[in-house]
Amino acid sequence: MSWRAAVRLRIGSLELDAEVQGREGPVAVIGPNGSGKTTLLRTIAGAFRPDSGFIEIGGVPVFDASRGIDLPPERRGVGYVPQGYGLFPHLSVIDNVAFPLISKGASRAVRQEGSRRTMERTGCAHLTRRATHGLSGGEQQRVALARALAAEPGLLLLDEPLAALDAPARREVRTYLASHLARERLPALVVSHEARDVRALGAEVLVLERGRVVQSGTVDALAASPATDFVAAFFEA
Amino acid sequence: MRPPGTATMTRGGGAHRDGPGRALLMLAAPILLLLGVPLVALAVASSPSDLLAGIRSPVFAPALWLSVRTTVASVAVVLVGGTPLAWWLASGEGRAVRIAEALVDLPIVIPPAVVGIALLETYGRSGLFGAQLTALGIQVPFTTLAVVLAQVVVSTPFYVQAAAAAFRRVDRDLLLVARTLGQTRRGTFLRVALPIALPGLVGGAALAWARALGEFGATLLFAGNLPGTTQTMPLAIYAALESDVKVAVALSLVLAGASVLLLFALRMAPRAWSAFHGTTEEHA
Repeated sequence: MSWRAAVRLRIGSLELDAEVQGREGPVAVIGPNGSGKTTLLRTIAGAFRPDSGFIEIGGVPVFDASRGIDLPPERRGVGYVPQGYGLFPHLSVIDNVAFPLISKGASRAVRQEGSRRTMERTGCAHLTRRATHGLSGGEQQRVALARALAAEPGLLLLDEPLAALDAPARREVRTYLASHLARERLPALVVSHEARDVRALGAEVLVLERGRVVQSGTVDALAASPATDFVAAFFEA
Repeated sequence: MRPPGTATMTRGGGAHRDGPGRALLMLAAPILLLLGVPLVALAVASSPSDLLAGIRSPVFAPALWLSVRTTVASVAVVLVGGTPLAWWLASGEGRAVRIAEALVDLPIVIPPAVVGIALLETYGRSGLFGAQLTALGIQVPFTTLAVVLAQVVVSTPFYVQAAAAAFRRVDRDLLLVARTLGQTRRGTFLRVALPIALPGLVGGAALAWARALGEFGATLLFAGNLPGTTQTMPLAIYAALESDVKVAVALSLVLAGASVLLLFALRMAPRAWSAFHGTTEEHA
């Protein structure tokens, strides 16, 4: 399982020109506000059409400007968890997790059973009977991750999965994410803005500034010789 | 479980120190009276026996029945045509969308009488499509179809504006999430955008229905005032005023009652909606 993307596009004042790749396990994207982190995730998910470049997930080209390939989001095999988790407010927790199975034409019984199993696997079986509105931030993040995993994606795209959480929830979800990403052995691209989160995930790091990759490598390598002021400040704390 | 944000919608009982002062209330009161007093006057204008006589008058039943039929038809047209339009306005961008938005707003600012004349110039015998319609043996003006057309034109903006606003409030990220979870564009609209925007669509539909029910000017000019065919409730009030004021008042009371009920339902709908949602989710 591997993925790579090299995309160039212009959205508003942002000019994104980035090349990223990964194998099993998480790659963390860090960078200042407005550096194009979320745009990169959304582009890989298929929200924007790059002017040039290619995106390959699990050996399958899902976008290739030169060959005229541009698969719609539903055929890219990505699991996207936006900031704010993106749970469907009009559906129950179990129906949220069952949502990807609707698309596969599974019967209601199969969907319920499948989502129950996914929720057990991802350690949120206790949330099955809860209302979506009543979940805490940490619980929403777990359910969103369970739902993304239920679609069996080839690449997980997580946008600031820990940003909106208070300190105790953050610690708990950080551990949870790290252990589940390791256990699922799933490629993942994770936007983050805290060195502690990046370290806990054991992720390779990619630094995006003004739409361009300015440095990449392991946490230790980046901390030892930061290429920009941002990288230096990021690992200082 | 209450959805987050409910608290901001329900008004608290306690008075805020920085709340409105007495002077502001004094300034606001006259306009409230201006709105409220005529309704009270209407309500006390007729005795129960007058009301009964009005309801029994020969113009009442045909006009009510015509109003029901035509408004149901026009709201159906507005829903079927206006929903895709609203979705397009909410999700599209560029000059075409802005032009369409302006076009949708037009019937609100154009006087209904002008709309009536414009419709005559479109479907009338000497109008834009007059020759073709005559050749096909179709007459539009002064028919029930003309009533529906007039209602559709004047009520569409109310629905489309409300529906587009409701669709705009649907988080774009939810739509992308639905796509990545395997839904096509259409599936995403039907399974995510539509259910989330539904309370807004219902509110818009109710406003459009109220506007269609009250339609007068465009109907009078384009459809005439023919009992049983084009004489809806507002036109029947107008006709009755010339012969028997009591019948006009009775008709007005029924129309006002229907509108007040509608307003009440509109105010209650969001609360009922979230209560309903809370229960379904806890049962799931």
